[in-house]
Amino acid sequence: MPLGQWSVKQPDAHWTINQRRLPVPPPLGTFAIGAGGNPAPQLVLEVAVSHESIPTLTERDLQRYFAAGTGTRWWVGLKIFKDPTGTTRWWAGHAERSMQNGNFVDTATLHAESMPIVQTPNLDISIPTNLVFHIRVATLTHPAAPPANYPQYLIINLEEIRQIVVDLL
Amino acid sequence: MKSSTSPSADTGQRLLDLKSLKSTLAHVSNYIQNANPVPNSLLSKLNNFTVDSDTFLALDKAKERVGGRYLYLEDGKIRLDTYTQPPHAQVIGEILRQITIQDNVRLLISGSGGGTIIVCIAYVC
Repeated sequence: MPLGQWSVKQPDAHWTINQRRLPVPPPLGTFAIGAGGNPAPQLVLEVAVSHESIPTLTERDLQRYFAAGTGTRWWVGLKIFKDPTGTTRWWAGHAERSMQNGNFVDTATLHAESMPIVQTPNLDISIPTNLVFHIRVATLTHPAAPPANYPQYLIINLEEIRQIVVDLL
Repeated sequence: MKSSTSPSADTGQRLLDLKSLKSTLAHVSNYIQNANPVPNSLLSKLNNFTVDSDTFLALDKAKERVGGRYLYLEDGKIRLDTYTQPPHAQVIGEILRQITIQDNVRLLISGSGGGTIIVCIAYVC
């Protein structure tokens, strides 16, 4: 997806609102158009194992995903500092596009549920976590309402992810 | 791509640059497809091109020859991405699984830049 005039990058995974599933169609132009004329994804995921430092992931990439015209409304990032002979550590966070007066603006801040960004070593992945990320669905569909009986939040359970990573180390 | 001064010279230079860019990418792709390291001189040559998003997205043929997922555009420069390592794909698959089971009316259309994830999506569905 284009991240401004000079950058194009494919997120590791992405989710786009299927407008036909919304109870009331949103106004034309509600969702940004991405590469190839298709709707740009509202939710994107970046996973880094072998490359990308924490500053790259949480500052440079984050700013680019929320640049003007990208259409990104929510970002989830996960970094694994893989160390087969030592301690594997990890970081996970998420961010939503900021709003002012009911309109999206081109900035985002990391959600409080994110792991802290530290100068000291990151969290040891062998330690269980109770962290859960809550992605507000109304932000993804704004200004349209989500379908009736749809979950208010999409939940990402970090412990389930952690267990998979530990199993593979 | 970077342009020069007059419109006609600009068009001619752009075509020349594009041809040169495609040629350079073709050379890069040959090294990658043969699993050989790309010489620094060739990477430097590639780095001399300043490419905008529209030009990069129009380079479909060249990207396919290299394997599109290993090329991306950053700050106007074409970069070669590194091969991903486990558990990269498995983490993506797990997050896709978690979101899919909550998406009770298929409000979300999921996708991925990684070919291996297609398998995960099929498994979840």
